[in-house]
This record gives sequence, C-alpha cells and structure tokens, in this order.
Amino acid sequence: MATPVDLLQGTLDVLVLKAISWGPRHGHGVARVIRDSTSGTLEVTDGSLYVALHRLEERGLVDSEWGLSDKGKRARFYRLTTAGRQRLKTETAAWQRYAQTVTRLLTATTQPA
Amino acid sequence: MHVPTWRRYRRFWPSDIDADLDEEFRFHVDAEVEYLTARGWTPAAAREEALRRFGDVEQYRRDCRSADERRAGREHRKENLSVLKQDLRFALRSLRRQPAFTAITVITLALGIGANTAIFSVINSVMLTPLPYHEPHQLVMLWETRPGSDRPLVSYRNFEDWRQRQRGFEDIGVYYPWASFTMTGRGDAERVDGALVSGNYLQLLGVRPALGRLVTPADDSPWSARVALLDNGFFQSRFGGDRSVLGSTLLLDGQAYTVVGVLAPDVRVSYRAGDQNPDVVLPVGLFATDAPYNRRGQPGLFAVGRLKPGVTMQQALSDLQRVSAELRAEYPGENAGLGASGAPMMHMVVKFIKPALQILMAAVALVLLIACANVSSLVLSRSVARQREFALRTALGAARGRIVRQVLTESMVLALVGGALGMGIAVAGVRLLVALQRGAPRIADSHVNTPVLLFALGVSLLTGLLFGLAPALQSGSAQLGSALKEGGRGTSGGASLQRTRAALTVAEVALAVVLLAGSGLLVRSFARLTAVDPGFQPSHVIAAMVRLPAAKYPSVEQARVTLDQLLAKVRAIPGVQSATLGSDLPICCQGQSTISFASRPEADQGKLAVLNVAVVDPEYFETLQIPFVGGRHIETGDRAGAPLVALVSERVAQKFFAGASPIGERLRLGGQVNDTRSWRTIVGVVRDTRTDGLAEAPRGTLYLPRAQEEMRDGWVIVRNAQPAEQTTAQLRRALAEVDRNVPLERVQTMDAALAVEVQGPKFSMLLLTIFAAVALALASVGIYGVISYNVTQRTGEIGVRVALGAQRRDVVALVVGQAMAMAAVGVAIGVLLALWGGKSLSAMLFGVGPRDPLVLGAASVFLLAVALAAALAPALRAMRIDPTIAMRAD
Repeated sequence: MATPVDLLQGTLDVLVLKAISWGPRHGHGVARVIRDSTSGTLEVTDGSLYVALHRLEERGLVDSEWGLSDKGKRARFYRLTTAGRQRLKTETAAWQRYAQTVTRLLTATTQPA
Repeated sequence: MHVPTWRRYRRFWPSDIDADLDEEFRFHVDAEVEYLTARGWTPAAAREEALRRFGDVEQYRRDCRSADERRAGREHRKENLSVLKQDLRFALRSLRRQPAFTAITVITLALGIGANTAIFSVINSVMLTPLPYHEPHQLVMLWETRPGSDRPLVSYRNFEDWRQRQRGFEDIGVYYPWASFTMTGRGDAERVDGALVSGNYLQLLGVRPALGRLVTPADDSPWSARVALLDNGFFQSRFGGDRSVLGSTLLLDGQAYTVVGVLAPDVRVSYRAGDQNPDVVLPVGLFATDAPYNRRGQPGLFAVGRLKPGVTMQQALSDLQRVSAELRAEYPGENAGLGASGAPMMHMVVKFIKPALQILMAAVALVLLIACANVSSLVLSRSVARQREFALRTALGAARGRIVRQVLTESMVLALVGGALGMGIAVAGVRLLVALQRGAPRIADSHVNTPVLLFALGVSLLTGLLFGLAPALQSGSAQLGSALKEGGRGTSGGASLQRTRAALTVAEVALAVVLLAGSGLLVRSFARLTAVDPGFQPSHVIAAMVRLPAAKYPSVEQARVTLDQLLAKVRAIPGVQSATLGSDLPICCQGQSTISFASRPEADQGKLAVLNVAVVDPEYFETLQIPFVGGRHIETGDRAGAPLVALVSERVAQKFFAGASPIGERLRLGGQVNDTRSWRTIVGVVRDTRTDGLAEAPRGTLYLPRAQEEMRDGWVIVRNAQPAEQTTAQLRRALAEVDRNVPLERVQTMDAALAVEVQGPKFSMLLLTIFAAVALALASVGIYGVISYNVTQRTGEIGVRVALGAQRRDVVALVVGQAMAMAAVGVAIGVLLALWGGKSLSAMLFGVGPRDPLVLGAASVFLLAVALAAALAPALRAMRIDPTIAMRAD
C-alpha cells in the first residue's frame, strides 16, 4: 500500500458525487466504490463519507430516501440531484484542467524560456 | 446493484434525525462486517476492522446531525411558505369570485380600523410621545396654592425666592405665554404675540436656537439690555428667513429690543397656550419692577422645575412647601395661606383632553368590535355556501387543520386589505380630528407615523383573528355526510351556525346600545350646557381688544382720554346701538383679586375671598344686556377723585351676605392690611354671568368704574344690528383715526366666544354620535342578515304553516318575533354594560347623570325600533311566500 495522500479540500465531495453518479447507492456502497477504485491510496474513514453525504444533501446536491438493500435490509439511499450532476461535471472539468497543468509542469524536461 | 423498491417508502415529515443516523451507521457497519467475513475475516476481527475503518462515530454523528438539522429547518420554512402562498392564492381567487361580499367586508373593516387608527394617532401624539425637551420626565409644573384660588400660577417675587431657597430641583424657570406687543417701525403697526421667560427657562427645557443664542440669565433683569428671541415661524413668515435680522432692532410697544437669536423650527416654548408658539420671546426680568410682576400677591406665571437626579417629585415638592412656609411667615399679607404644589409637565399638558381621548378610544374600539361581529357573521354565512366545498376537500384528504388555516388566511387577507384601505381613512380622520379640536395641546402634531402604522397592522391582524376564528372553526368541523347530503338548501346544517350568528348579532346590539347610550349622554349634556343662560345677551355683540402701549401713553390720563375718543367715534358709527369698554368679557377668564369687606374683618388673611374683578364703563351692562338687580348704576359722577364705588354680582351677595343686600357695604382689593385709601362702597347689584365656564357656578364679580381705575388695555364691546364684518371694518377705521399705530386685536362675536367655551364637549359629542351611528348601522345590517337568511332557510316550513292555515299575521309575527327576541337580549345586556361603564363618562357630563334613565330608555327603544325596521323586509318576504311554490321546491 502506497503512502496515503491527504485529500484536498472539496475533493472528497467530488469523489462522493462521482460514486453515486451511476445510480442511487447507500453509504456503504459509496465507501466500497471509493475504497475499491482507489485501492487504499486515499486515507478516508467511512464516517467522513457520511458527513460529506449529509452536507451535500444539505446543499441540495444530493437527495436521500430510505429503501431496501439487495440483502433486504432498510438502508438510506443517496442519488444525485440535477444540481449535483451539474456540479460533478464542472468539478471534474476543473480537476482535469488543474491536474493537466500541474502534470505538464512537473513532467517538463526542458527548462521553460 | 438493482434499484430497490425504496420508492414506495414515503418519507414522513418530521423524521427523527437521531434514529435515522443510528440506523444508517448500524447498517454500514453490519454491511462492512458481512463484506469482510465473506473475504475470510473472523466475525470478531471483521467487526473490529469495520469500526476502525469507520472512524470516530460520535464526531461524525455530530457533524451529520448538524447538517441534517440545518436542512430540516430550511425545508420546514420552505414548506410553510409554499402552503402560505397556496393559501393566499386560493384566498385571493375565492374573494375575487365574490366581489360584493369582499367589498362590503373590506369597507366595514376599513372604517373600523381606520377610525381606530385615527384616534390612536391623536393619542399617540398627545399622550404617548414624550415632550420634545431634554429628559422630559424630569420636568414638573409648579404653582402656588392659595385659599380660594385654583389657578396653577406663581408670582414673580415668590418664584425668585423659591428658586434661591429650594433644594430638590436643579433649577426652576417661569414663563408667561400670553404677552402681546405692538410692533412698529416696520411698515404698518402690527400685533405680535410674545412669551416672557426667565433667563434660565429655555436652557432648563434643553431647547436650541437655530441662529444666534437663547435668552440667558444675564438678560433677565430690569437693568439688562433689552433683547428678543424670534420664533422660527415668525422669523420665516415676517422676515422671510433673512439672517440679517439678527442684531437688528425691533420696536415693541415703543421700546427697542435687539434680536439675539432665532429658535429652531421644532421648538415649542410651552404647551400651555394652545399650540401656537409666540412670535417673540423676551426675558421676563425686564419687567420685574412693573406691575404685576412686582406684586408678590398676584400669581400670573407658569413655573417649571427640573428634578435633580435621584430626587422624587414628592420630595422636591415638600421641600418647596418648606420654602413656601418661610415665605408665608415673611410676607403674611401678600402670602397669606401660601403653599406649593406641582405635577409632571406631561400630566398638565394632557390634563384636559385625556378623558375625552380615552372615551373616544374606547368608543372606537367598540365600533371595531361591532364591525368584527358583523364581518364574522358575513363570513359565517358565506361558509355555509362553502360547506360542500370543505366537506369535499376533507373527503379528498385535506387535513382539518389545513382547511381551518385556509379560512383563516382568507380572513387575514380581508383584514389586511381593510387595514390598508383604513390607512386612507385614518389620514383623513386625523385631519378631521385636528381641525375639529384645533388648539388642544400637541394635537396638531398628530399624523400617521411608524408607531401608528404598527398599531394599525396589529389591530388588523387581531381583527382578522377575531372575526375569522369562529368561521374557521366552523368550517373545520364540517361533517362530510351531512354537508354533502344537505344539498343546495338544507335545513339543519346551518343550525349551530345560525346560533353563532345570532349570538354575534346579540353582541352587536349590546355594544351598539352602549355606544348609543354614551352618545345620548353627551348629547343631553351638551344640550344642557348650551341651554345655560350665560347671564348676558351674546347675539349681535362684537368685541375687540385695544391696547395702548405704555411707552406712548405714559400717563393714565392720556390713555383715558384716547379711549374716550375711541369710544365716541365707535358710538358715532351708524347702526351701533350701544358701545362700551371693559377690561374683561363676561365669560371665562376674568382677572381675579382677593377682597376684604369692612364689615367682616378676616383675621386669617388666608381666608380672604377671591372674586373676579372687571373694570367697566357705565354702559357695559346695557351693551351686554346684563340685567340690573338693585341699587344704582355707575354714573358719570363716579370719576377720579370722587368716592370710590363698585357694583357686585348677585353671587357676591349670596356668598357673603347670606342674600341680604350688600349695598352700602365697603370693601377693598387685596390684602393690604394698612391701606385705608382704597375702600370702595358697593352701590349696585347686577346678575351673574358665567365667568368660570358655562358648566361652573360663577365665582362672583366685582365691577369697578373705568373713570376711577387705571386702564390702558381693554375690550371695545359693540352691540350692532349690522353684519359683523362691516362693523369690524368700521371699528378698525375708528381706531386708526385715534391712533394708527394701535392694531385691533382678537376681534370676535360674543356668539363665537361662547362657542369656544363648548368646543371641547362638542368635539366629544360629535365623534361619539358618529361612532354610535356607525354602530347602529352595523347592528341593523347584522340583524337584517340573520333574519333574512333565516327566512330563506325556513321558506319550506313557512309554506307548510301557511298551507295548514296560518295567517299572514302569524308569519310576520314569527319572523319579527325572532328579531325582537334577539334585539331584546342584546338591549338588556347593553343596558347592563352601559350602567356598569357609565361612570367613566361622568367627568365629561354636565347636568345629567351617567345612568340617566331617559337616555338609557331612549337608546333601548331606538335599538328595538331599528331591529324592527331591519326585520320588516324579511318579514314581508316571508308573508308573500306561496305555499305551493315553497313546498314544491323542497
């Protein structure tokens, strides 16, 4: 396992939004998606995901409803609102621009003029 | 992962945030444990790992909860707002659908709220707004108490001693608001009103000059340079706001005064002389050696003290009484019986208008209550028509609370629209009140301002709640079955509703009786007051004030000759039947003096009689037609140097000689113990005039011949058949021929002067009568509505009765009987209320008791008659019911 990376402010929110962008998912599902897709690179406690979800819901980016899990247990499901989907799009674009810029500089082989 | 059946779970509001979080977290940990055990962890190790991965449960729970709570609060508000919006939209739509109902309701409410707001504006301005002085609650009006005198005044000499010796006040100042001067040297001679103030007075109040400086203690002595302060209004109107007037000279009564300052626009020098500020303010100390200021025994000034911090008014007053006791001992003649009293300045300012305002506020509140009852009844009857609508909505799942809320919203909309329209009525009403009661202190400052608007808003909301509550609850209890079954014209569904409406009507009638009785009492009292014989014949008499300035007429003889010339010219005016001169008019408020009688020596100077004193010409009694009772008239022989004589009014004879003839008795003015030169002999008796106001028994007047007295200022009184304007013009011409620098002042007919005396009672009477009329109209509409609706509802029943042989007479009796029963109950309650509340009116009544049976009886009968009239139209309609049609309709 590589050294865990501290998350930048707001990055967790984007990850959470992304995790439910394929459809409604409960908190545990969100945690599994993030853990599996980052292979433990990111040091995120499961509880902090819930805080992010509830805050996103407060801001109207996420909606929640109680339903049944595939094991038949009562669980709270989260899904993106229209505003949430829009936010995910802009945040993703912004992240890509940022990452490309930083990457370009860090991988430069010749000294800029 | 499939989309579960979670959609069929409805989220119920309000959810339990804590329980939800617990459940959510528990699910997470359980799911994680399950996930790990499936990958070979032992259950115990899996649980431990799951908890480790979750992190600090308590911290996260707190963070989640606060986010949830913020969201819940916001959603709750949003939900409320949207329900309100929906209710409002619905209310407006349903009110628009019934424009007649809406218009009547809104107008009724606008009248009620508007009238209340108007009266409150005046009360707010007069009684609730603090006086515009520095820390006004510390200001106390002070006065001397002397046996037999009830005027709240102080003499200048005593004031000076009070001021130096007292310890409870930071300072005491005095003012005299009714000075008047002739201003010359700037075009035509003109009259200016002046106030005389002690040098500390304006600083004591804490008022500011707009230009220059105030009058100060340094200006306040007979040896000071003569200075004058201008009122801002006078500065603007007379000098066009030209600053160069500062430092220039004013000629007042022939004396030169330097203008040292101009008062700020909002400054009131006092509230005791009506609302008019004087034109000029002069230091009273300049006149300290002149009469009457040099006479300790003649109080004529108003005094104001500012309490020291931490000293109560009672403490300060008892200290002043201590000083007064010293002064009593030091000047036993002039200060016989001297004491000191006082009251908060605000109290003195509102003293005379407060009872009337309180009564009017109560009356107008009753009117609003009646309006509420009426509107409530209207809304109720309307809700009958909507019974089906409500029942249907309930059946479709609307909560009962929701419907109550809806009906209440409609009421609130009505009340607020009524209140908004009422503001227009209030603005007009305030103007009317101010015009009707001009001259009452501070009333001119009344306007619809922020506190008044808040009051109106509060009253509107309260009104909406009051009249909306009964209909709202009624609609909430709509029974699905019965309402739907009853169909268009049911017979039973309105029963409880009719009872409510009847109760409301009874209340209306009761309140209307109270108002009617109150206005009846005031009308009767006013009639009594105007029927009082003033003791003279006012019609065709004009009076005007003439003042000869001492600067131009230094000798009394000069003044006498000039006044004689003037009188001769006035008598030569064609059409003048009689003309005379007098120091006072035969109405309020004549000059007063203590009197001692030679035959009844009074050891205690404090018990000396106080009488009105008027200096008059022989023709005074003829011109005013004051009847002569006995003895002889003043004659031409009663001149300077001849033995001093006096006439007295009958009251003097009754009071001091037990009705025996006072002729030949000797008396003298004041308490000058050693003065033997001023004995006067009573030579005649005349009838009393109402010198202390029409409502008061006269104090008794002493008449002295002008030829034997000093007089520079006096009333020219003319009895003339010509129109008043013509005579006034001729009077001016006559005066100009004698001295063109003396203006004719305060020209008035005696009829008008008498009307001023009853202005206050007239104001209250008029308003209360208007309110009573509105109340009556509303009550009769209420009765009509209930009876008329009843007849409609009972058409079938009446048809059956007629078919079974009931006479038309019986039908009418049935309908009218119901109306009269309602009215009778209302009247009975109203009379009880009037008996109970009548006492509050007694201070305003003259010659009639607060429980006057005639008034109460008349009010009752009147209301019963109104009820009868209101029931007549429905009764006639009932009479014409055709049984065949009526029964078929069912």
